[in-house]
Amino acid sequence: MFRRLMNSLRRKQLEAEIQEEIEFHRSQTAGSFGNVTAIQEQTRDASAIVWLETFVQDVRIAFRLLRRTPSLTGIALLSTALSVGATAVVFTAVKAVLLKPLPYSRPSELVQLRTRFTGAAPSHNDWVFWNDTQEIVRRTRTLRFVGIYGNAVFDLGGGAYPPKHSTVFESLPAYFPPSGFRPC
Amino acid sequence: MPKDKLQGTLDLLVLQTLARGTQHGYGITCHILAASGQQLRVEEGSLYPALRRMESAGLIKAEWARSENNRRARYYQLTKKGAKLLAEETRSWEARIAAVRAFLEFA
Repeated sequence: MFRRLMNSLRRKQLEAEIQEEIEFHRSQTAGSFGNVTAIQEQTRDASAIVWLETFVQDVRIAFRLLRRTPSLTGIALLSTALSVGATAVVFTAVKAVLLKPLPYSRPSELVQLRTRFTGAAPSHNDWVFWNDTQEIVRRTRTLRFVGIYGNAVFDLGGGAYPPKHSTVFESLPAYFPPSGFRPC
Repeated sequence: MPKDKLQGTLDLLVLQTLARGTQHGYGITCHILAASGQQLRVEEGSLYPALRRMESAGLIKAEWARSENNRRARYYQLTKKGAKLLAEETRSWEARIAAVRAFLEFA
């Protein structure tokens, strides 16, 4: 295969060699000889990677045709680029959100605790009373580690109304174990 | 012998010829013709593509050298791989002949 690739690359030299070889043969025979050109072509095709050469030719024709219609080529290129970009963006998001496991040692066993109030509609709020968290930490037999996080809103001052503020995610390190479990 | 009956045995003929020593394309056809009692005439259009194919497959290797009449000729030589294939092909050819003969002589 490697030899064939090399032969495809040094095409002129190969053709000259084949011609010389067949000329030699012809010089030795007194009788009739087949179609020299056909024999040379067949020999050449057996020596090189024909599909690679025709592929290169096809690519060149394609480029020539594309250059002849620049506006169409531009639109085609632009839409291809946009769709490739969009696909990449969507897949990156899907990978980060859905496919990549969370950076904990056993992400499938991770649970989030929420408070549900009897009589109230189910809520997506993730908050738990501080005292409840302390009870859970003290009494759990199901959970190996309990981590607690909270939001804090800091007033950034400046006297503006409504006040400029910053929402901060704070975790309480005392409740995260020394190894095998890290908040992200 | 008609051309189509040679198909598939050309490699065997070439390998067997080269087992006797290096030879150029013309020499190969001469040897095949002579050694077969003028029965097997290999056409150039089959021989040279086959030589290139076998060269690519690593069965033979080639180099340019001076011929008997002091012209540049491409000499072919059997490789180890080619010698191994020749032994295998010879065995399988003989087995095939023996099988057809046994069949024809079946009374």
